Amino acid sequence: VHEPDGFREFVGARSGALVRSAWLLTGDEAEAEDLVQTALAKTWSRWSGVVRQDAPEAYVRRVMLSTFLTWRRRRWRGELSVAVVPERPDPRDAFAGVDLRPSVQAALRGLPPRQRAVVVLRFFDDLTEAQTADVLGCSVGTVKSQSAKALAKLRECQLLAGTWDEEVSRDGG
Amino acid sequence: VTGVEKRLTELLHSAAPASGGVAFEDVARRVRHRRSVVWSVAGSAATVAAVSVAVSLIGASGGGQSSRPATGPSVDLAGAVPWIDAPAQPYRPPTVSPPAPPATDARPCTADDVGASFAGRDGAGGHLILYVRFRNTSRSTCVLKGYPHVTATEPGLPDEAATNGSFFPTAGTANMAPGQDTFLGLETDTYCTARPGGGGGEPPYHHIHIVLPGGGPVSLDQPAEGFDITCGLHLTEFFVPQPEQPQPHDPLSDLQASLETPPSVSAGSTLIYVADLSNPTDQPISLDPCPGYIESASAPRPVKEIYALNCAPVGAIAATRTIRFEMRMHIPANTPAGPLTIHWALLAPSVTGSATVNVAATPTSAQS
Repeated sequence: VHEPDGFREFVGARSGALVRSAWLLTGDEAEAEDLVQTALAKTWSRWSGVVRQDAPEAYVRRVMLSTFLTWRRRRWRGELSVAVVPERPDPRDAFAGVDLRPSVQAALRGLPPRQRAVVVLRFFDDLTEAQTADVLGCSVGTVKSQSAKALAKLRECQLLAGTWDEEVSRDGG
Repeated sequence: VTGVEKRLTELLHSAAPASGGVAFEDVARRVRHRRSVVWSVAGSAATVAAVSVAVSLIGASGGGQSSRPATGPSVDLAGAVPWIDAPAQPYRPPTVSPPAPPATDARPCTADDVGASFAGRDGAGGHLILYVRFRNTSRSTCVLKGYPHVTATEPGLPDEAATNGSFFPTAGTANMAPGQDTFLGLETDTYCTARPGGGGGEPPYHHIHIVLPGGGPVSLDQPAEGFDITCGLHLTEFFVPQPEQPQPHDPLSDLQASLETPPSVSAGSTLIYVADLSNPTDQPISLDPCPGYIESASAPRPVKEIYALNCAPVGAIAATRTIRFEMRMHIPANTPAGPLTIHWALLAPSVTGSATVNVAATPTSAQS
């Protein structure tokens, strides 16, 4: 199989960041790598055209998101609801980031896939609403409404209760 | 950007685990695999026949995983169902029909039937909601449904009527037996055309007047916080929180998995092992539709494969019986010598097994 120019370097340089985004989408390290590998494999044959458009990562992200949304429709991904709510971390704890992982993971799993995708693109990948709409192939209005709904659900999520306390008083709701 | 959005960004960044990314070689392997699948699907009859011969030759030499056959000690495959290189079908959990909607045919509650009190608040994205709990204090069942007529009042200020419809979704309502509750949400907003910059002054309204659909006024005072209705006062319909739906039971989840692995395997070869699926119940468990399974190992890069189980020769696993299934997994050539944990899971809830196999030192790895 012919190796496209620059593809190997792109994988080496950017796949780590893609896997982190994919983890937030899938909530599982192995599935995240699976998703990124699948997106990259789909991009392989179009690489020269993608590079000419000067935004290869945006293209790969678009493929990754559409693959994720397709998987969510077609495949069971082994997600199970938990009977016992994990303990919430102490924000002063140096390992709070690590301890937060299951809570964030569970909270994201509580969102429908499209809202989860919007949250990851807007608040992790730091895309604008217009860029997010472009990646997801929807309108900016849809991104806004999905984002608002997702934020509402995350704010209601018991697993993250306490996380927003300061912001609630600051934002006035 | 609001504080909540900033906090969410921080949360996501602190939660997402660091990753070294994926290996180019793994992507290239997928590309080769995708192409072979496309070939086998798109080819003519003659081509398909030719590919079938090629596949059977590959199968005879250790599967479609393009690696050397297993070397070293192996497990006993006597009586095991042979491994097949077949894609897993999507998992379809058993379905249950949703419960019938609760009855809402009781007489309408009047103000004399209920006691009202505030019951907590919540907020999201500039929307604030205050819940009102109505408890049936009468001796008979009644129902609160639809929207009441609600007015915010304050001496010296004009009365403000609430509008129907809220940002916050709610469940449906139900008949309310004596002692049971029904809720109503009162929403105020931080942002609107009248106040595009958000924020607000002292909430000026402290009294809420509710006329129930069944008749009669209910008045509530909230002197402590009050209502800032610059952006209006919006209502949910009456609602009763719905209990969570029970998850349907999948008989496949009763199966128990364990692995039989050889003591060692060489890097770059195909590990041949056995997955034992046991049925501890007193009922047979059908393998139709045939479940898939996932096998994985984590060195040096995660290896993960998803296949269909070879269900055809089995059909079902009889009560209290165990069926042995031959399994294969490619062990990458650059896997370091030492213990390697193999994880196996049926694509059904909670059926997993794992085992450790020792990767034998090869001349190459021994030198490095």
